Amino acid sequence: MSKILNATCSAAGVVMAEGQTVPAAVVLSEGKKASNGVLLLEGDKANYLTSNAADIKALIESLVTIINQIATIATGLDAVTVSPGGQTAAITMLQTMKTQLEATKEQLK
Amino acid sequence: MRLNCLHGFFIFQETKVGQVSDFMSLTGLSLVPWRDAYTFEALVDAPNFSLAGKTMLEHPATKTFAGEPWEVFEANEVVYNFDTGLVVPIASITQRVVIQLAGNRFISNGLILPGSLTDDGDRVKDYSAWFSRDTLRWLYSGVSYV
Repeated sequence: MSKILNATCSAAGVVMAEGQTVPAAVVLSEGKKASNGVLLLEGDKANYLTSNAADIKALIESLVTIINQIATIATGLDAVTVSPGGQTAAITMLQTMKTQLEATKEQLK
Repeated sequence: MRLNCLHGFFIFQETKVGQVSDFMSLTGLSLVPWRDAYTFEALVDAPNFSLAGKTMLEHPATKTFAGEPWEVFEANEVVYNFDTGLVVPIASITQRVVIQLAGNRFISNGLILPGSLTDDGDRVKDYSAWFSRDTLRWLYSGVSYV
């Protein structure tokens, strides 16, 4: 018989369920940032799984921003015969977003 | 009436109508419906999981565990003491019990308190029994020890 409980995990990897810390819990996700999730109990095994919704939402938002930035650069290149160059700021923004994506990877819950 | 005591968790099953009320009249102990059987009133909300440090039937659990109530009892090394109405560590039971072989069954003096110690130093963990209306005794078909 297994049991599923709502749970949280701190950035330090401390799992709590029903107001009680659960030292026995194994964090199956990355666990590098505080999160909400579930504690799965079966026999003497306790596993914590985060909800990945927040991670995925942040990732999608970053990707949309990057695509917009690429579109801006492409639009500028399209007009190169009229007004060459001028995409430095857009390319810098693209690099910033790449850095942000890499940071997201390091903060997965 | 049949009885299964599983690591101090009790399951009573009527084989004839009226046995539960007879039991309650004879012993003064209260039984309530539980699943398709009966159990002691204090055990009806016995949890199917425990978190170490969190109370379980007013007793602090020592293990994080999920399973049937009797498995949770065993993991936490507790039993239900029907004399006191409390869930207690099995090791805290000091009561002595004499279990004798009588034909194809065992007999003892009354209902065995789980965790009781035999003269050989064995501690009772599980048993199955039935109540004889003829002799007004519990007859035991099996007893196992920690």
